[in-house]
Amino acid sequence: MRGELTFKGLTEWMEQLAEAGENIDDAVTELLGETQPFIAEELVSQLQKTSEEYTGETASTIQVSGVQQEGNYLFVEATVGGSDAPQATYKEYGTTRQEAEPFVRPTFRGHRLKNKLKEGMKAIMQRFGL
Amino acid sequence: MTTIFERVEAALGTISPAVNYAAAPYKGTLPNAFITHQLINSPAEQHADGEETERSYTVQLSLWDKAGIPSTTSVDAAMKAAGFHKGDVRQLPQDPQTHHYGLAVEFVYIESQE
Repeated sequence: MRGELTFKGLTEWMEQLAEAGENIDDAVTELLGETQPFIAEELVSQLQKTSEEYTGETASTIQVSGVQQEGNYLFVEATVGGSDAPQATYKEYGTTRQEAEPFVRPTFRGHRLKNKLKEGMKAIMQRFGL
Repeated sequence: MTTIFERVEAALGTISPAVNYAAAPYKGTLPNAFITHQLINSPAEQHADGEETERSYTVQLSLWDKAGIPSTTSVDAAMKAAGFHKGDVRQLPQDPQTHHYGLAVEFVYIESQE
């Protein structure tokens, strides 16, 4: 299971940096690197909100990569579960007898991660005097 | 005011031939084919003058069928007619006990306060 986040404002932020002559790749790498620990924390936080008694079993399968680059595409990859831990999928999407207790979707679609990224973007802009 | 749950059930109720559906989790004996629905999240999307003006509702429909991967055609049409937009689709692991195949389909409804 992988999470993906898109949000408004990122393009404009990068354009402002480019106009100011700053290195966009460095700025995005810094932004993602600073946000990376928060992604894992937020996934665990959302897991703890699910109704099931929290055991940490699913949380132990959470992995968030360092900043990676493929061409112009910079990203961090968050994964949970996998073939050895199907309970993460059961929890996120439910089964025939179990309702879903989503924790990945609230992490990547909620406001907390977006706000964290926006705070990071603002701090970088202020540091460059923009 | 119509709740999102009523809106979903009204849409699923228009499907012909009729399908078994219920709010998740499905209670009682599981039919060969059935649908469960569940609200995943419903964030406020827009405010004006301190008042909420728009909210989105993401609903997950889980389609289960012992005969194979469920078709979404009739569900898509019913939900679209009820004002929902189709979102992510994901195949679910086959139930090892009941042998139902599963498909999770998200639908989003935007409610505006006029």
